[in-house]
Amino acid sequence: MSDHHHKETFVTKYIFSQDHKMISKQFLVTGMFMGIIAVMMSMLFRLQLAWPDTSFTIVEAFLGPHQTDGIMNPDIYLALVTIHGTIMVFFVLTAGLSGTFSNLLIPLQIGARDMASGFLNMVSYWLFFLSSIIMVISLFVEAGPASAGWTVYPPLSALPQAIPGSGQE
Amino acid sequence: MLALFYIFIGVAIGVSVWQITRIMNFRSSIANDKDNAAQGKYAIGFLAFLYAMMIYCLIFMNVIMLPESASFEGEHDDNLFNITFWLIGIVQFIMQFLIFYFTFKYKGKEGQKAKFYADSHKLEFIWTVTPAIVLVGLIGYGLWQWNNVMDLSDAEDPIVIEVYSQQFRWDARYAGADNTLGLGNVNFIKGINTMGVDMSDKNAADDKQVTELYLPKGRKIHFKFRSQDVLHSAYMPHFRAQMNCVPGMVTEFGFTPKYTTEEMRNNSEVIKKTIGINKIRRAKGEDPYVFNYLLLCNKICGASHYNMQMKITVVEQDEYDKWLSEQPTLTEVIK
Repeated sequence: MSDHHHKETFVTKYIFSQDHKMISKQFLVTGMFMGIIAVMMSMLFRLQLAWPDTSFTIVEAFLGPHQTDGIMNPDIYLALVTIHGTIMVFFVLTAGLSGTFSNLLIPLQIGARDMASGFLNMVSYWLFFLSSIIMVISLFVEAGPASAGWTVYPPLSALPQAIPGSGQE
Repeated sequence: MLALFYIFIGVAIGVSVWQITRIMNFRSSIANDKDNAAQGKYAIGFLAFLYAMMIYCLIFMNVIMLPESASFEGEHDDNLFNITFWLIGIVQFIMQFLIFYFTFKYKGKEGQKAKFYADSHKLEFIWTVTPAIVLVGLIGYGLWQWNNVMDLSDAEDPIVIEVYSQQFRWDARYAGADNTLGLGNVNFIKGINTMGVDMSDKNAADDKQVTELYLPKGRKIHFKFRSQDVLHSAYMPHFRAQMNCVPGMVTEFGFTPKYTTEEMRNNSEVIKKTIGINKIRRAKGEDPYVFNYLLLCNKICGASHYNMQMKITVVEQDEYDKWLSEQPTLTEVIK
């Protein structure tokens, strides 16, 4: 069997891999990483929710200008809820269920050698990776991260004057 | 308490990292009888923990529940809530026992093989039809209640009130003597006409714009909702009522207040809650809290969403009439 395989380099085997098993592991690790970020956010805003007028050094350390004396500002509270929700739904559940489990199990269950298009599968992961980075970077945008809730209902999410972080292009 | 919280987070993160690294060592080992016996005991331990938490929450978290419904229609919402709650509660109590006890009882043993049991039509029939009947009952009651609140065609002499939402305030308009609201559109907003009422419409002449809701006890109120900017949601928890306010359309529902604000303040549940709230407020040196019905926004609508509310006062009919007659009509205000 191994004679038929062409030689895999480190890059083709671990980074730009077209093998569904490796891609599912990539999804798993990225999803877990995003999960940790999202849970950290929920810890922060739940701290605020549970003790609304207590000053927290952890809030001060993480939120910089988005807090006053260790108490979270209302707009960053909504932003954290929004980004937390979005990450949990699209970057943890999606990565975990379709990215990891479907990718790993379906070819094995139906007895196929791999997904129909290994190349597209690889592109899919790397687009996901790119969007994960953009999602996290959005926290540091000057006009503020998206704050309209993960449901992104317009007009709130579409009009720049409706809420900080909305209607950015 | 806080230090405990930090320690808990630290321990949780530590345990998860430790567990993830441990998985790597397990790849080649298979569980033996000793492992299975231990896991079985953990399952029973978890069952006990789960039951303890459930009972604790049922008894001690009860304080955060709303007091009894302040509208006649809301009684059915409470009914539906209680029926659903007890159904789910009982099934949950039994199911959790079965899941964890069977995990313990039928744990893996050396040389023991699982029995292959393909299917039983009788069993499948029972577990399909029973939930189906129960769900049809629940949904049927829910649909009936939906129509009860939404269908105002046979309401006798309802009071028509428009509630207008914008970032971040509520305004209300009473339909006046003719009980018909004048047309409204965002294009008519100008100066003091903040609700955008079409003053050329003759129905608008006797409309009364207010910033606080007064409702008479025992009369059906027909609410109409509009929004100026984004989606809002008019939420009146004590009356078990909520409706989205959508820019560009009118949504509506109705309910009949059951208790005046004064009567509700003397409700035993409300008294208990008020004492609890005031104990906390006193410790902080804040003014004491007095119960009032509230209209809140229940859809994230911007930075000050949390603070978007309007006071609702329910009074007897004569007091309501007196209050309403004191409010100026739109013709008097908007010349």
